[in-house]
Amino acid sequence: MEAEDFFKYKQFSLDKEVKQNLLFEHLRSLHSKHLTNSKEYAKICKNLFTQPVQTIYDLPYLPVSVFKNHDLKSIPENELFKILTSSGTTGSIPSRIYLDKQTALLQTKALSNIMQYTLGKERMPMLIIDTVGLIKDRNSFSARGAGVLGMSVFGKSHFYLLDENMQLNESGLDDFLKKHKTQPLLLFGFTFMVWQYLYEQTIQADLSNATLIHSGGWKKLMEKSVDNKTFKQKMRDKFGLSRVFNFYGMVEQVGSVFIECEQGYLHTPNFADVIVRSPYDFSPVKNLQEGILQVLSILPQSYPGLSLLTEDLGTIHGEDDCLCGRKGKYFTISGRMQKAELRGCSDTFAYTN
Amino acid sequence: MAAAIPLLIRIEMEKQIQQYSPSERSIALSDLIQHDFNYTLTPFDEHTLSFLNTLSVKLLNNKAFNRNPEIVSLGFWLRKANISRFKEENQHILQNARFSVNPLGLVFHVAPSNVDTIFLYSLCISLLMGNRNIIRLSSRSTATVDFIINNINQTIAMTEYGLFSEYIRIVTYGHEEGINKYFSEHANCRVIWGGDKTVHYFKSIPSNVYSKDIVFPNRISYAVFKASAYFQLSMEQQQELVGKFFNDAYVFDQMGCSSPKLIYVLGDVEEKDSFIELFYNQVTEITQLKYREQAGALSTLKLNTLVNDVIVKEVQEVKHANNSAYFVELPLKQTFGDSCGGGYFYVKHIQSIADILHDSFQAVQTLSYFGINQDELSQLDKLLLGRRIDRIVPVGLALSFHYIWDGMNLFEEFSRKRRLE
Repeated sequence: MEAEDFFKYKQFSLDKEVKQNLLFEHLRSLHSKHLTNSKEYAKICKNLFTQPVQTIYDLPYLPVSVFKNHDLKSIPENELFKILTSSGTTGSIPSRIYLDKQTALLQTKALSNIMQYTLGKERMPMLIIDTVGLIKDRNSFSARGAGVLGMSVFGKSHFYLLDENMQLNESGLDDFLKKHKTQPLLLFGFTFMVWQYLYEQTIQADLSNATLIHSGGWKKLMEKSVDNKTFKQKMRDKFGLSRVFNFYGMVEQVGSVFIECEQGYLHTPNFADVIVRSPYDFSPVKNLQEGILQVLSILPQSYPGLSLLTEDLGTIHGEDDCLCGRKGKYFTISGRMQKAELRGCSDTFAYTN
Repeated sequence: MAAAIPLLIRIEMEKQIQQYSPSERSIALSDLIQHDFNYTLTPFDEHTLSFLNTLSVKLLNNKAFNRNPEIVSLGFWLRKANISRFKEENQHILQNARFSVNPLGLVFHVAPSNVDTIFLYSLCISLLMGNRNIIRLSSRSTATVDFIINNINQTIAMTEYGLFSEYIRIVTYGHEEGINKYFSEHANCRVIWGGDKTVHYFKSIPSNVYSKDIVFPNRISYAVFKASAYFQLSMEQQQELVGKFFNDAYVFDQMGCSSPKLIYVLGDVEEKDSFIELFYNQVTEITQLKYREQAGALSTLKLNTLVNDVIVKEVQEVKHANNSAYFVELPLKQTFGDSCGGGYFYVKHIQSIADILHDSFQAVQTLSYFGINQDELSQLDKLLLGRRIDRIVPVGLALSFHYIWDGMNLFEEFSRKRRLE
């Protein structure tokens, strides 16, 4: 089965037997393809993953950081369509992801499939909780800019909450809300931006007819002791905003996002999967046990990113039987692995500037 | 007099910083300097020996800490009998009709943050030579550091040891260049522990022309095992040795300067293979008991390093059955950088002890060994002429501090000789 064929099925509709067969069959052939076309991938597999690939659990998993330190691709130069880079945290090296046309198209298709499931096909007036400056200069797109641009196709009549100087455009917001008073609205922003520039401001608005989609790390909010549950509760209390959905994704598997359902669980779409592994020996753990999250996706055709070990901790709560009605595994994220560096003698005084 | 001091320096000297010892309070920089100080402690002064012995008793008598291996080693190191032995061993530098031995004066120590006790060794050797000391600790205070400081303060508070309050000033402050400059200008010696970055940083700060620097840059350490000797050990003896190796490697998450990061296996190919098989399983067993949680937390760090190594290095064989120990076998010629620590070992096969000369020895601090006989050790010592391995010690002693460290006799380094003719 070709990658495109996964989109013939309605999203979140496949029973686990059907899905696991289709998915494994495709992932295994993708694995073979990358073995042939990426010598780095072949090297890693030969040295570290020696067992035959008989089930989805046997597929090699690369640490996401490998895309920071190496250029991994499975396509000749002339098929290169675009290079994605992640911003990473401040000071860290960005990942570089090599896309051909097919992979880029699959990513777009995948994201719109998933978003439409939650948002419907009709495009809603969209409030973007970020600065208009992000997209003004198209030559210097940050990862945040790319994320905003990617999401903006799911809305219309876009309004940016912040001006170029990161100042709240309150009169603009009033106009936007008045103009679209009777319509359902789409809100999008990165989680910490939503918290800092919408929630923590003096804005009083009735957003009960809106759907908020948000993503990005929780680190800054964890410092303020705000978890997902608190986040939702506060949005509801302050703005009457009850449709709040987080999604989890990464630049190393763009398009392959895991969106939160009405029950508060992240869901695997038809073409992707998650496995949770033990930090002690990387063996898969049972459902309801916390471990390191591995993400699998059929989208990375042009680079060997089909199966990645993240640095996030998560728990799978079940498969196919979430009360929201979606099929597929459903899971939660609970934190990140310890900072991936040990202090040496060289850390004496931490004079790194 | 004050008018002659430039304004900026005057501001610095009035600046207050946090003092931990001899008492917790804030203190002005100028109060730490005292140019006209009257030195009274001679090298290996009986009073200093007695002070350190009292401190030792306090450290070793605490039930909460007297099983902490760092504290135990430190406690025994400070005992009068031990220090007297050091004095004995150093008679040649202490007693001579042609010179007398003197303290340097005011010594400014910059202590490392990853090895809790090292600042105390640095301090005590300097103190034993009669110097006054300012020790800058990073603010990251651990329970061990806290415990040591409390005991120092309690000892100084005893009436007979009040004098030491002038000799021991432990302080903390942030990355304040002005303060570093001030101390550099006024100290007679700077002791810079830790890595290259810190050493470079302080070298960029001018010090008083009469002062000297004792620096401890980045180092790496190795271990060597003779396979055939290992097989001759009984099961119990092997386990004991593995326990020692575990302490050498894992106590500071393999990040101490003397924690082994590369293991040489001496023997023929068959011996090497069976040794790695056996030793890996034994290391795994003990780490599963004693290092499991930490290993789990560091698992992705090690996987990242391994994937990098596989891409950029010629990796022959990898053992990573669980995340508490990774053995990555490299060909003899393969160069390697630092390991990520946390139980990540490079392994190389050697057929004679001379084979280790294939590696670069610019920054090697310690080679810990097992099964190497006296002849081979002296052969190795000769081969290493002009190359840098600063310590060769049996497995289990990698972390034991000695006054001969990084190629220097620190008693000599912390003192000055007055030629008498």
